[in-house]
Amino acid sequence: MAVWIGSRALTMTELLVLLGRAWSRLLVYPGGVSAFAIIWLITYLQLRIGPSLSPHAFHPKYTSLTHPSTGHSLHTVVSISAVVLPWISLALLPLPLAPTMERPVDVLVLFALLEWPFVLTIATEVRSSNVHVQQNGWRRLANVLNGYPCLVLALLLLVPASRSLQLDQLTRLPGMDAGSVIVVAWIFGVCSLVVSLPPILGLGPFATAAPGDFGLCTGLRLRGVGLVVLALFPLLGLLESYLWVFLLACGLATCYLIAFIRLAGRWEAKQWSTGYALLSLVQLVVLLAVSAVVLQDRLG
Amino acid sequence: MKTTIRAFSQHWFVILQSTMILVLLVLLWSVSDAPWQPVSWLRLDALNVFFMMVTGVGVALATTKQNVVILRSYHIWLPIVCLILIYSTTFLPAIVGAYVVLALFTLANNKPSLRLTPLSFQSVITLFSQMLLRVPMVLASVFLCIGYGLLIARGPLHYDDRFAGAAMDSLIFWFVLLAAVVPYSRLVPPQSGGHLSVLWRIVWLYPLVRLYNLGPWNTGWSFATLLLGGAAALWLSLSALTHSREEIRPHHVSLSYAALALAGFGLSTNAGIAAGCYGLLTYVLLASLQHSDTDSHEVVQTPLTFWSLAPWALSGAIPFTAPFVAAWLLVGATVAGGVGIAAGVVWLVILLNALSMGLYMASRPVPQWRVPAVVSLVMGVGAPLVVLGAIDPVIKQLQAGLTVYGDVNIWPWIGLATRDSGSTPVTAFPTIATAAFMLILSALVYLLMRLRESFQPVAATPQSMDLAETPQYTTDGSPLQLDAMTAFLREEVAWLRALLGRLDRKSRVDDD
Repeated sequence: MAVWIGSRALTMTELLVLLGRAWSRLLVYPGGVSAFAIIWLITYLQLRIGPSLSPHAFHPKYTSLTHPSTGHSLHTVVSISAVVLPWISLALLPLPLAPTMERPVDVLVLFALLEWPFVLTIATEVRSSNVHVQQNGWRRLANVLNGYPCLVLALLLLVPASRSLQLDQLTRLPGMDAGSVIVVAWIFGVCSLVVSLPPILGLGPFATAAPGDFGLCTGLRLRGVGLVVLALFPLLGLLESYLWVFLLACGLATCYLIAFIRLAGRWEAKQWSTGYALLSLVQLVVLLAVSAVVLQDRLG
Repeated sequence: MKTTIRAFSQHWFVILQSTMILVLLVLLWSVSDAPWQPVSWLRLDALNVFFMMVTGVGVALATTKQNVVILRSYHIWLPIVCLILIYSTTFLPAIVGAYVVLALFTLANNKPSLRLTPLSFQSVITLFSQMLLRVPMVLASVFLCIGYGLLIARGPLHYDDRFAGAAMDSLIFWFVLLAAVVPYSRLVPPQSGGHLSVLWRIVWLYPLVRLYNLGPWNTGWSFATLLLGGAAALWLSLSALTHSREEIRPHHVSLSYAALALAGFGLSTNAGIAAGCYGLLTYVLLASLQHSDTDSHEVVQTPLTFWSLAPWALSGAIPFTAPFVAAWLLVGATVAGGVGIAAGVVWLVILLNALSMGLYMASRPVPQWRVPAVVSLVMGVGAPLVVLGAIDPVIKQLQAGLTVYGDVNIWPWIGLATRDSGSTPVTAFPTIATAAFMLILSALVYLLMRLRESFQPVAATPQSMDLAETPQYTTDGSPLQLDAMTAFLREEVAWLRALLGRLDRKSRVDDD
């Protein structure tokens, strides 16, 4: 099928080729079987060792009493979309060993796809007539508002080094010719990306009850996996040359998350929110400084 | 034959609207290579036909078969005549005169309220405050008079005069920029200037964008436009989030997309112009909601269906929709232009806008925004075709005034991408391909869910889903929990608390 606009023929061949080549991404790796195996493993570990870590470790209890499971057609649409969008975002990740994709995506699109089950869960909970479910929705909303500025600024701190928001470009390490300010901004961006995860994932004092609906719950778990992978994504550039640094960084990030779950409960979420706001402020100052340097280079 | 006639009689209005937009699209394509200029003062080029088309899309979306009667009012036709004059002539005094008439018409439009109420001190005060709210439009026309007046005083009477570029300087630019910014101030109420008045506001951006025809902008002009547009967008989205009147939220959200469009136009790049033009289309789409919204008050307790999710397609929270693509294009354009901090502002604006629309939906019965939601989805998924078909001619026409710091790559049938001056890809969104993946996976997930349900031993009793519930209202009609939620967010989110202040005592008691 071809459509002519002016003198240019627009063919659908590229789309069909792209769809045909993407089946293993969608069904096997990085999406599909491998993604569901990971969330099964997380659920299994949560049930086995979760309670020993902290009573509020991950998503402790299902609120099935307050979230009735239904056979409603609207419910079906919501459940399906809550699973499908984060599934696609995982499938589009340019991870090692995954088949190459000619048309990549960027981090904004990935976030929007990953966050859809979260948006749906908040919409469901806020409109509920049950006060406890409503307050769970408010808590979820507060968490995302606490974590997102930090996450967005962390990603923007990586941009001067990669000069791009496209996922395959984000793994690029700062070059030898990059100024020290850009290198410092990149390191700070990578660290703050991991630091911003707890409120967004709902860990420790930010814990919220998981929805009872199967689709929303699965979608939220896929979102969690996607966000963790995304936080470690800039480090993928270390894989080829500095494997041990990559492994060390992944280990440190895991230790940080476990330590947060175990220890952060000593302070309330409100106190942590002040900490995250201050971190965002520091990120903003660093971003302004690095932007000024980049602009000066461009004009000079 | 009878069936065909009956079908036509039912859908004649939609057919008429679609034909009007198609005609404008064909006109846009016919002038894309060379402008149509039979006489020196009359000119149709890609830029003015694009603005005509955007206005046409807005009018088509805002008028339905039920409210088509508003088209008979002189409140509609006088501004339309002014718009046609502004868009079609090159004669600068005529353009300025039409803007002055448009602004004065806005100012004079509230006279009936004086006649309806007996003359008293209170009514005079009310009228005075209403007049003050209209001042920004008059102020904008004054700025434009000064800006274009200075240009005319230096020689050129037509914007396509050979020496018009030499007459341009920073003073002229500042005044034209101020004329473009002021109408997007939150001080201007949603319905000022009569019916469809929110749609006429896009016309104030036209004189600024037209300056690209005179020559390239310097860095300071671009930076000022970007700064003002970004700041206005952030201010409007924060106002949308915190405004006490619920019905104002969509108004401020839509205005914030117009401000983002202004920021895009300020970038002076292909990607920036694409973002600006797409932002304008998003603005008219969201501005049209304020007309369809009046209908939603009548459907307070309707049972909610699949269409209950429709407002989400206008919130910016879903990647395949027009508001998201508008913000996405601008983020790509700003990063490509080396202004990463502006990308952060755009990201924050879209987050706040999604939150505002979410709160708007939570506080009232779900509005029935079916047509705008479908248009938003079509515009989002079909973004590469929209950019190729409607925006690319504008970019080509303004090419001489643009810099190389950011370009748009169109992958027909796949999606869009932006790249910087070194051809490094900055952002990429295969909209059509991702939508195709979504369709395939939706079928698979549906099948898996049906299989899971068939293997479950006990089925739960079907109940209505929480999403489909109508929020509870107090006796005075105000939402029951919204104030408490806002107070909770102010208490729990440090940066919101710092920006908006702590919750008051009453809210705290309610929360407890």
